[in-house]
Amino acid sequence: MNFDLVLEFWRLLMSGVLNTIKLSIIVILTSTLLGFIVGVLFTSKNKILKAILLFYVELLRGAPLLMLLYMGYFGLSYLGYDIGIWTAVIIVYTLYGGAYIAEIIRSGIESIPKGQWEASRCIGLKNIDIFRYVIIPQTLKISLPPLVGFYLGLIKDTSIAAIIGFSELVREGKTIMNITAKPFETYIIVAIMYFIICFPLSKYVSYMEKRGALQ
Amino acid sequence: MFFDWWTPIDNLPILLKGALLSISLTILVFLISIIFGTLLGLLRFNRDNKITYGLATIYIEFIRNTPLLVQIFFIYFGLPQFNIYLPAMLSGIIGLSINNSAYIAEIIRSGIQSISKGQWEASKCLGLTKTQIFINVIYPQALRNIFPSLINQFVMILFGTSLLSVLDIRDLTQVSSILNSQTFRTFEIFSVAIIIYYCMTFVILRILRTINKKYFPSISSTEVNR
Amino acid sequence: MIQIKNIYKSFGKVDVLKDVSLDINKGEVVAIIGPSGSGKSTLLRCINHLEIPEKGEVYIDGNLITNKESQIREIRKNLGMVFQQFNLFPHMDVFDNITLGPKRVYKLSDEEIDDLVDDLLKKVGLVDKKHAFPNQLSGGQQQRIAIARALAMKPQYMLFDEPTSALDPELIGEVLEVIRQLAKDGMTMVIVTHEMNFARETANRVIVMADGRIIEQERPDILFTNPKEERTRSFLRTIIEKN
Repeated sequence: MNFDLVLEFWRLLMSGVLNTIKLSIIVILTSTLLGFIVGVLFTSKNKILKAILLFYVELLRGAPLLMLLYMGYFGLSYLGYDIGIWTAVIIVYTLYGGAYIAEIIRSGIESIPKGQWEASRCIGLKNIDIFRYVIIPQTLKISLPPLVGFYLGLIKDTSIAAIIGFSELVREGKTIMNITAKPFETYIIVAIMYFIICFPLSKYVSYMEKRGALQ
Repeated sequence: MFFDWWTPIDNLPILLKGALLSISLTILVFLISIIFGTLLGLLRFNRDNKITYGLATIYIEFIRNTPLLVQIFFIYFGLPQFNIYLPAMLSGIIGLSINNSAYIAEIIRSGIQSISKGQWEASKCLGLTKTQIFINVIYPQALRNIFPSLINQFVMILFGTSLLSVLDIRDLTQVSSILNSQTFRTFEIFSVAIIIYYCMTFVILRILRTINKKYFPSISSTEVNR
Repeated sequence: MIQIKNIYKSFGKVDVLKDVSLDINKGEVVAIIGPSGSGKSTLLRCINHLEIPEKGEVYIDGNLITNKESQIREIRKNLGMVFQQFNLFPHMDVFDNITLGPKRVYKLSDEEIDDLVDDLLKKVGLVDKKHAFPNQLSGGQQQRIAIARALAMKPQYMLFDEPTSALDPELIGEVLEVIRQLAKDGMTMVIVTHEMNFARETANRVIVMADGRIIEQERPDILFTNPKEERTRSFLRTIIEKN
């Protein structure tokens, strides 16, 4: 086993991990924004709006991410929209993450006791204020563990973009593996790098869940 | 620019064949993962044997904090370095099973842990052995609690099979990809493939949720009717 | 006979039981009362090894309780336990709840089991609930089934850990009635309770605990009218004020 040979390509590994982190951060932000908006909009009484949102969420959650990436990257260029790989990847992951986060937020809002709504209305608050001061703070508290858990999955899912040629960590790993002919060492190092990023997050999720359970 | 929907429709048989492989692999991997995951979950639950607890924990933590794709590549590309040559299908099944066993182990462990201490104490006071308690009292209740999570995991496995396309396993994703490179009808083919995936997911969820309602109706004692 | 000798038990830094000794004779009905945190439940749970004392010994019929799993299991067959939270098995109906123990441990035949269940349900007054599920029963009914479940193992001793504390007031009576009848039938019982009237009427001996020690034990008629210790007096005063 020769780890040094693989580690000589640390520049490639770094570039890969940098792209992984960049993509993860961008996508976590955008999909949370989208998912939050959709999740909150789900409480509206407008049946047409609800149907459209439901269609979006169901569709994006009903197919594997790889399929969605194929559709987004190759499908869009087929339709004449020649966007770069970064744009395509960000769009797909945002829509994908948005759908799952919408579901997390929606069920978070739904789990707030009806009494909270009733009490706020009795005080005379308008809908916007009810959301701002009563509902959203509580939703954030309830939804934080599953949300961060989902972020963890999202970071791991960025690896799937490697299949369509996005130069993140796994893709660079494949390049290194082909050059060095040392797939075992290469992927151990790649795995360890993911582990370093993900493990603290997963411990944080466990910690949050324990704290939530104690209440 | 016009859409040619006949291409995917004419190729429906091949696409459905791919879908069939996807679902078959899912069921196989699910069953293997349940067995292996239950074992792992029990090892994690039994804190007395520190060695097995430690090994199981390391395994689960490592699998859950690294991407599935890396694990699959590791098995398919990494093992041949040591002269272990596994065919693509076997690598894929092993990779998916190893991955999902870890997640199912955690589901099971938390399911067991959520059973109130009082159930353990009441059973112990009747003089039952640990095995009897587990089989008759704990496991049935834990299964009820975790069934929704298991349903979710089943769908995750189905989506996981799409990654096996990198090993040229002819699941729905790979079939649609090949079809695309042959006919270049990208949008139409991938749309139909996504619709087929959606239908599979929908049907699976329907069936499993009905089973959940029928065999595991809510027995919560908070519904005491006075 | 149950013999508790010099038990010490702490949870973390808190000493819950400090050098407690107690003998319970066959046929006795012993009530344990006292303020919260006095160690009453812990003492009871030390009898059947649900809590393990740091120091001291417990003897059941002359046998010392050890840490050996098989021995503990054997002894527990003789010690029926009724919990404050009932702890019925929610996924089983009444029949299965009651028969799980006898079936798996004593390996009785189906006919013997049927007779046993009918007898017990008659005793607790719930014959028509043989196949109901716990979540279909009221709290009082659940607790009575829990008593039947404990009796199904034909124990020589019954332990009750605040059996009515989790019940609505109007349901307490039906459970106390069953326990009263058990006492009349001669069962040896240890009951941790806050029901003073019940303790006064049914117990042969009342034990008062405070701060992890037994501060007084006496016949109920004497204890409730003329307690020796000041601590007992102040405790009884707060109970009377509550009522």
